[in-house]
Amino acid sequence: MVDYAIASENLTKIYRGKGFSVTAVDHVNLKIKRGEFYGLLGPNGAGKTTFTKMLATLLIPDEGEAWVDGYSILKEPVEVRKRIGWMMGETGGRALYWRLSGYDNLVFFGMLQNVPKDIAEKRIRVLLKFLELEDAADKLVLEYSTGMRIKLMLIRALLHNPDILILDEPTLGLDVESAIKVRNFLRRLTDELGKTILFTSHNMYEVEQLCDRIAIINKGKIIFEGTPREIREKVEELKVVEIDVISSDSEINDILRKLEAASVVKKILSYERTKNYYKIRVTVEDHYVAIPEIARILKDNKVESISRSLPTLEEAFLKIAGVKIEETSRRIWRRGGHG
Amino acid sequence: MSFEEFKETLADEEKIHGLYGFLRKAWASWFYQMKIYVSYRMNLALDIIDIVLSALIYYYVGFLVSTDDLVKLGYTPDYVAFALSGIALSRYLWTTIARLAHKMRHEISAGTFESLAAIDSDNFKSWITGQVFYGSTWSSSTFILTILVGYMLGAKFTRNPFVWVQAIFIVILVIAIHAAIGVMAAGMYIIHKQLETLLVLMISVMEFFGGVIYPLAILWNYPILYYIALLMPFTHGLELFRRTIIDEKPLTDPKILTHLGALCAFAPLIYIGLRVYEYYLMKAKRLGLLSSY
Amino acid sequence: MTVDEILTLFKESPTDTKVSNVRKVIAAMLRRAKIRFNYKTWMIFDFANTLFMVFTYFLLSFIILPEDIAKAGYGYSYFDFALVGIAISHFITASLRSLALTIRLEQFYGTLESVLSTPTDFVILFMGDLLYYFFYSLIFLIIILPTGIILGSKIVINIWTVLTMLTLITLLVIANLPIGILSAGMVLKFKQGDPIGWALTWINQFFGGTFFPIIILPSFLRFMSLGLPLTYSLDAIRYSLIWGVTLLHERILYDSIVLIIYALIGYPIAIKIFRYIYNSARKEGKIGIY
Repeated sequence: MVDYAIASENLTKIYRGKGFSVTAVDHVNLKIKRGEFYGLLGPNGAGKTTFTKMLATLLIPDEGEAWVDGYSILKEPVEVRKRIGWMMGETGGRALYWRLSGYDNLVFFGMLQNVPKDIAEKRIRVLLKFLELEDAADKLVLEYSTGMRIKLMLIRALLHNPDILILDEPTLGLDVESAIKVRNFLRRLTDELGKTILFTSHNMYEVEQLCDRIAIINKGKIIFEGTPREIREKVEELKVVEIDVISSDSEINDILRKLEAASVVKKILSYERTKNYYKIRVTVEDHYVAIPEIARILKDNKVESISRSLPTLEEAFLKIAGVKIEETSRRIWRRGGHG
Repeated sequence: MSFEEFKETLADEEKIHGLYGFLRKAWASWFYQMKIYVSYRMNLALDIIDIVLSALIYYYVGFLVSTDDLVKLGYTPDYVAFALSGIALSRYLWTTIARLAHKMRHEISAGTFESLAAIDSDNFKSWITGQVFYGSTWSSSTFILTILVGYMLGAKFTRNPFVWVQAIFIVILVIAIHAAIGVMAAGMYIIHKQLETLLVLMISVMEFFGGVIYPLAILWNYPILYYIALLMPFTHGLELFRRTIIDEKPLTDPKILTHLGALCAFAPLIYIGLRVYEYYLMKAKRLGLLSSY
Repeated sequence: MTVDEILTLFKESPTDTKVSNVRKVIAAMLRRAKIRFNYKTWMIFDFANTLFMVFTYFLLSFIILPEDIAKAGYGYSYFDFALVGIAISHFITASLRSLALTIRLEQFYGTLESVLSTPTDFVILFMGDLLYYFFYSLIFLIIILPTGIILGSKIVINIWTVLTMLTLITLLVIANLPIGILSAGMVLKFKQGDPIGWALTWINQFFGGTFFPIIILPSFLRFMSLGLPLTYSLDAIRYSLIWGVTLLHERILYDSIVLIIYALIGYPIAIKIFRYIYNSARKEGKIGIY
């Protein structure tokens, strides 16, 4: 296990409460190489956060073991903490002192991470400037926007220059421009400084863009592990067509029945009402054949558009794992974190 | 539930208007506060311990008090009754004066205040009413518990129900006047955030000058302090309350009448308080300050 | 600022830096001070309340007979007696509640996990907070005792009694802290605010005899009093300030030894229980949840 940046063996976490028990992480075996950008992908409640919290030594597993930079999370937690930069994203709560300034927060956490003030100051200055927070540095975190807080948490995780970064949904809640900036920056951290990054997300396209390898986790189990290319190949077989149609609540059943009966439609994935129309998603064998055929079937309805669409994470899951993903209940979210 | 059914429930909601609607919403606001409080059972238990222990402290301090001096200063020799009546009434100070502003600060920082004030002013008034009633309920429970503990410790409070009716009348008067200060302060607080400090200071000052655990007459040694004490409604309220439940003095007693007159002189505050509150709320809505924190 | 510059900075700067624990404790203390300073209202309230308490007990002392005070060995002035009790009441609160408050506040801010994910032991944070509350209480002491003297208190203040007082206060905090640690454990376990610490303060004020000498308690209550370290701390500090005697006086020496015994027995038990609760919270995943 010494050869890996992060390795887990049968790592298991069960949350128990009055009258319920939920296996949040279920015998997870992962091996992440040094200098690898590794994505952990899964819906809310899949066990992502629980997994990262165990690696950050905040949670003791019920079964199994994990090693970070060769150190056991059970036997050498302090050594593990020295080597990781851990960041819990937007959904992870506050994680900063709201009644201290952004700058004070960073200096303080820097100290806890064994970074002397002079070194910390230099790093804080450049990182604040890079993430365009320098003007807000002396303001209380209370006055920050969500995006600003996330940037601050990211700086906090980087401050002690750790070799391993465990980032739990770091881009969730950032504006598009900042998210791109942060992604590029993180990618260069692995490419040029050889940092290992474990990155969780429920955004498939983000993970696909960034990561060297990806694991998909659902209900605590790893259901797929591979390169982005392997995932894309699997998902590309999934041909989705999206139909926007103006319809009343009573007409929609009729439309769905027509689609169900059509030979070109393999399956109705979902339908939902948006502001002006219904959005129906279906899988097809061949969209070149299916799109004109669907247009013909619905010629009497007010069809706004029919187009090929990229599969959503949920749909890709269905394809990859062959099982429907389930968002775990809120109760578990509250007990065990969020992912 | 279908969307149509949901819409119907909204229509139900619209039917709640007028005085009935107002009271119903006030009741809801009161009820949910109460529910939250009671759900923290440990807090409840510890509040009770707090009340019992503070009563016990003065019970034992009472052993040290010179009853002769107490009598000389015009009270009965029963120090436990003296102190516990003061402590019981002072329980209203925080809830009437500062609680509303404090509660508003929470709602403002949680971002829920704006929606509360925005929906309609009727809703908002119910909220305030509910909150004031909740504060009074809480204080009244601690008040009653303190008095009961007093009885158990042998404090010679009156056992005449008619005298208690008079005492309750006085308590209500004290609550109304102090709540008026609280409502006024809460209004001003929306714009002048630093007011909270002044508010909490006011409570300390009133509690001190009211003579909660020492006889007011001692202040005669320092006449300026004595006159300052007379400027506060709480001082008069407490004297009235004590004279009623310990000495069983009727309202017609000249000493009682003086304090009652002095307390009633503060009654216009009830009207002024509400007006000031409305003025500041309107001003805050114009300036858009309800969510700024 | 380009990414290149950042990468160069990180590439060149050392990764295995060290910060001494003393520095960390001071940083933790300053962090608490800065946060508390945002709540000026409560600080002012606290100061006003305590000062008015001094005035109140000053006035109350006019009608109090000093016989029981004298019988308990504390001289002839009830005001002196109460003044010392009020002056050190913040230290009592600090020792009993500061740790529980640390946990409570870190949970409330959501920073508990953030802090626990660093290699720094949580004890450092405890120490920092404790130090903050210690200095905060010291300010009260420095204000209250002179106020009392202006109002006519005859307590003896000289270099020896002050040194004795500071030593005894330190002993008070040390001996009471195990109860504070247990209280912090309870907060971690039950997550119900800090009511236990609050109640403990009341219980201590009652049984420790902040406002009346414990000799007037009936024997079963006095028995409980003698079980609390605070009783001995208060006795020693009062005795020293009222009679102007130092640590070498036999009564104070006796109290101090009792306090040291409390500490020797208390810490291993308290720390063991706290560690147990902390580890089970880590197992159940309940550390940071508010």
